[in-house]
Amino acid sequence: MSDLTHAAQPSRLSLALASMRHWLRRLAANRSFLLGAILFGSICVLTLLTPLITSVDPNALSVRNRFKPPSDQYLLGTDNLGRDMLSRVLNGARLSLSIGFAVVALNAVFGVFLGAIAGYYRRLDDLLMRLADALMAFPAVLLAIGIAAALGPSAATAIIALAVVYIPRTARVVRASIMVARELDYVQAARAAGARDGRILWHHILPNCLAPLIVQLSFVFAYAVLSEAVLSFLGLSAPPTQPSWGVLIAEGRTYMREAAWLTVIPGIAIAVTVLGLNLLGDGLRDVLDPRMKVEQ
Amino acid sequence: MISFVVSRLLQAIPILILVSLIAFGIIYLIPGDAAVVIGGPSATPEELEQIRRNLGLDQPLHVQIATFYINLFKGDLGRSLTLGIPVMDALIARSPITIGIAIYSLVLTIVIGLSTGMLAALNHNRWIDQAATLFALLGVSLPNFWLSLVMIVLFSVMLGWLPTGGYIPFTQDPIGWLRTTTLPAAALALLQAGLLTRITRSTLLEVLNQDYIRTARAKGLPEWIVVGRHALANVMMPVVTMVGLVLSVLLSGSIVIESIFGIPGIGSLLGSAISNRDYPMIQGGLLFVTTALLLLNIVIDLLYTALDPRIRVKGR
Amino acid sequence: MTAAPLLSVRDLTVSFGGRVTAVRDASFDVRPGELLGVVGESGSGKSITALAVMGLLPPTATVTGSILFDEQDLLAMPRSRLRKLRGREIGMIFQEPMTSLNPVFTIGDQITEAILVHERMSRKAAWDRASELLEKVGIPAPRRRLQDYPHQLSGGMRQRVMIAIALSSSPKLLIADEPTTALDVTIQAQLLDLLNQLREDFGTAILLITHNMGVMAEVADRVVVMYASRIVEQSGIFDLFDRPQHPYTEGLLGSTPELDADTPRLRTIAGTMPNPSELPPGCLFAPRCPKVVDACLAAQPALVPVAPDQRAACILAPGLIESTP
Ligand SMILES: Nc1ncnc2c1ncn2[C@@H]1O[C@H](COP(=O)(O)OP(=O)(O)OP(=O)(O)O)[C@@H](O)[C@H]1O
Ligand SMILES: [Mg+2]
Repeated sequence: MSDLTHAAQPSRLSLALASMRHWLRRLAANRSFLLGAILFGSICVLTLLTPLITSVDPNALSVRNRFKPPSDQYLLGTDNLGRDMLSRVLNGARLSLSIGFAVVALNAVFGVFLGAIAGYYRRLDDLLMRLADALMAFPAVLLAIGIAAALGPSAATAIIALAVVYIPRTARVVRASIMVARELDYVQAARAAGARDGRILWHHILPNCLAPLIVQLSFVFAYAVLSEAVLSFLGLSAPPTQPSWGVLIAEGRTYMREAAWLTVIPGIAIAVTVLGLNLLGDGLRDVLDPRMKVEQ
Repeated sequence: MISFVVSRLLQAIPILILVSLIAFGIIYLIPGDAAVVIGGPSATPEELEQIRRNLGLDQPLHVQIATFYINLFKGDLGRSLTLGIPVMDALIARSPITIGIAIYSLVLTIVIGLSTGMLAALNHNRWIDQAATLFALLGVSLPNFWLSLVMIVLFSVMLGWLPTGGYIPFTQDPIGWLRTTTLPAAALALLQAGLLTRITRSTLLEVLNQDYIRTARAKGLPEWIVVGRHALANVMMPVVTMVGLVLSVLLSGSIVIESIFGIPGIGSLLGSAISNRDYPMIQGGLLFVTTALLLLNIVIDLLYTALDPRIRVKGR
Repeated sequence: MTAAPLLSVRDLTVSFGGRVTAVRDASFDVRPGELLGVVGESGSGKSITALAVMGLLPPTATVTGSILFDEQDLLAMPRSRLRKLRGREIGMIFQEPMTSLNPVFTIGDQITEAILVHERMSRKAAWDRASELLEKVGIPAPRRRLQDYPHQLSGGMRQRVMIAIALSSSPKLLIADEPTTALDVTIQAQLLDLLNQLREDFGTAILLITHNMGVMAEVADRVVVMYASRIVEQSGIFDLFDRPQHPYTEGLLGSTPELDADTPRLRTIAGTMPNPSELPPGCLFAPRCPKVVDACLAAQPALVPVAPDQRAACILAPGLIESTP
C-alpha cells in the first residue's frame, strides 16, 4: 500500500486488487451470498475430497448387502444391488458439477463472443438476435431434451444441449451491457482517439460487462445442474455406469416404497447445490449489479 | 387494436420460420447415419431404405426443406415411426389433457405465488418474509420430477389420499379428474410459484413505496382497499408478463411429470417418443409446443395492453 | 387569537431509528379558516411534520408529543378512528403531482372513491359530485375528464385533481405540501388563487408548505419557519416581513425571489444545513449565522415570545433585546 502513495499513478494491478478487496468486503456482508457460498462451497469441497471420504467403488456390487438403510457402516445406505450410496452420490456429484461447469465455461466463451459481436459490431446483430429469440422461444428444458435425444446419450451430449439452450440467454445479457458501455464517454473518447476496436472492446467495454456476466453465469450453473438432472433422469446424459444425480433418482424410483433414501438423498444433493448457486447469484447481483435489483 | 394484433402476428412470423428450421434441423444432429440409429443394429437394408424414404432422407437437402415447409403449411408434421399415425393427429388428440393440467397448475401457481409474495411484502423483513423467500428459492431449486416422487410417497403411499397415478377425463368424472391431476398439477405449480412469489414480493414492495399509495391512504381508505385495489392493480401487470415464462417452464416439466404419473398427455407422448427414438414425433412435439407458446405470448401481450391504460389509452 | 385552534401541535418530535431526528419539539397552532405557511430549506422537516399530522409517516418513524385536532389527540387515537378522519376532516395535497395519482384508475374512479369511503351515496351521485369538484378546481369539460387516466393530464391538471380529491369531503383542514413546486409559474399563480378562493368560500383552514417566501407574502396569515428539524420563528405575516426576529428568517427574506422568477429555491444563505444525524452543539444555525456570538454555541435557544404574536429561537432577537434593557 505504501508505494501506492508515492507513485503518481497507481498501477493497474494495485487498482484491481483494491477494487477486488472492496467487492469481497461487500460480498462478505451479504447474507444471501454467504449462505450460498457455504452451501455450494461444502458440496464442492465434499466432491473434491471424495477419495479421502470413501474409497469404495461406486459400482461395486454386494448382493448380500442390498437395501441397507443408512447406518454407521453405510452412511447413506445401499441400493438394490448393494452398491454404496455414499460413494455413488459423491461420484455423481463430480459428474453433475463437471457437466454444470462445462456448460458455464461454454457460456462464458460463446456468450461473450456472440454478445460482443452483436452488441459492439452490430453488423450481425439482427441475425444473431433473431436466432437467439428463436432458440429462446423453445421451453428451455424441452429444447435440451430434443437436442440430447438426437445426439444420443452421453455426458458430452448433455453439455452441448444445455450450452445451446443457455448461450443465447447469456449472449443477450452481454450484448445489453455492451450496448450501454459503448456509449460511455471514455469509450467514445478512446474511439475518437483512434484506438483499435479490439483494444477498446477488451480494455474498456468488456470489464463493464463483467458484473452482469458473473451474475448470469452463476444462475446458468444452477439451471445447468437442475436441467442435467432432468436429462439424466430421462437417460439422455451420461450412461448408468457413471451415475449422475438424475440417474440415481431414476434408479431409486422403482424402490421408492421400500427404500426411499435411494431417491431422497440424491434429490437433496441437487437441491442444496442449486439452492446454493441461486443464493450465490442473488447475492452477487445485489452487490455487483444493483441496477438489476428492484428493492433495497 | 386489430392492427396491434396483426402487427404482433407479423412479428412472430420470422421467429416461427426460424423455430421450425431449428426443429427440422434436429434430425441432422444424429451422429452417423440417422436411419441406422433409428432402425437399430438389427435392421435390414430394406428396412433402412424404408426409414430413409419415410423421413425424406433420400432427397437432397433443399428438397427436404421445401417439402418440410410445404407440409408444415398444410399442418402436416409427418408420421410417427412407432404409432404409425400422423404426428399432428397424435398431438391434437393428447393436447386437451395437457392443457387441462397446465391450466389447473397455472391457477395453483398464481394463487400460491401471489398470496405468498403479498404476504412476504406486507411483512417485509419479518419471519414470514424470510420464510416466503426461502420457499420461493426452494421452488426454483428443487428438481420437479424428484418433488413428484416425494409427493407420491407422501400423499399416495403413506397417507393414501390420492392415487399414485393414472388419469380420469374431466368429462367422465370431474372428481376423479381432480383426484388424478392434483398431485401432478401441484408438483408443477410449487416450482413455478417460487418464481411468481419473488416477482410479486419485489413488485409489491416497490409499489407500496409509490406516492399514489400514500394518496390512497390520505383519502382515508381502509388498508385492505389500499393494498387489495390500489397496490394489487399495479402488481398484476408484471405478473401477467410472467405467465408466458411460467407456462413455458410448466410445459417443459410436463414431459417428466406426465410420465411419472402415467398421464396420457403430450408430455408422456414425447417422453415415449424419446425412448423410442421417434424423431418425427420429437420434432413435431417441439414445434407444436413452441408455436402454441408463441401464440400464447401474443395473447398475453394483448392482455397486458388491456390492463395498462398508459398503453391502451393514448394521451391527448 | 380569538377562536380555539383547529389543529394544535405540541412538542412534536419525529425520529427515524434513533439516529435521524427529522422534527424536534415543534409546537404550533392552525386556527379555523386561517392559512398557516411553513417555510424552510429542503430537508428541514416540513413534509415530515405534515405527514405526522396525517398519520402517514413510514413505519420506521417514532413520534412523540401531541397533535390535537378539534380537541382530539391524533397520536393517541386508534388507527381506525384516525383513518376515518383522514380525507374527511383533513385533506392533503402532495409535493409530486406526477406520481401521486394511481396510473391504472381513471380520475373519476379516484375521486368518487374518496367520496364514497366517507359518505353513503349512490355511485351516480358520487360521480356528479366528482364532476362538480373538477369544475370547482377549474378543469374544463369535467364530465369528459372523469373518464381520463392520469397520464392523459398535464402536471397542473393532475395537481388540480389532487386538490379535488382532498376537497371531496369538505375537510376542515387542508394540508398542501409544496403544491406548486413541480409546476410552471403561471400554473403556480392559478393554483394559489384557487387555494385562496377555497378559503374564502368554505372557510377551510390551510397548512401550506413552501420554499417560496413570495408565495407566503401573497397568501399566508401566519408563518412558521423551520430550520434543521426545529421551528426557529413563528409570526404573523406582516411582522415577519417587517421585523424578522431570527437571522435565518432574514436570510430567507434576503433570498426571496419574485413569485414569477424561475428560481424559486432558497439558495443564497451561505453554507448548508447541518446533517440531521450529526447536529452541532448550541444553536443549529450558528455555523451559518452572520451575527453569531460565543453565547450562541452554548445552548440551543428555546422558541420564546419576542413580540405580540411573534416567537423566535434566537438570543439576539431584536424583540428580546428591546424588551430587556
Ligand atoms: N423515511 C425516512 N428515514 C430516515 N430519514 C428520513 C425519512 N424521511 C425523511 N427523512 C429525513 O427527515 C428530514 C426531513 O425531511 P422532510 O421530507 O420533512 O424535508 P422537507 O423539509 O419536506 O424538504 P423538501 O423541501 O425537500 O421537501 C430529512 O433530513 C430526511 O433525510
Ligand atoms: Mg417535503
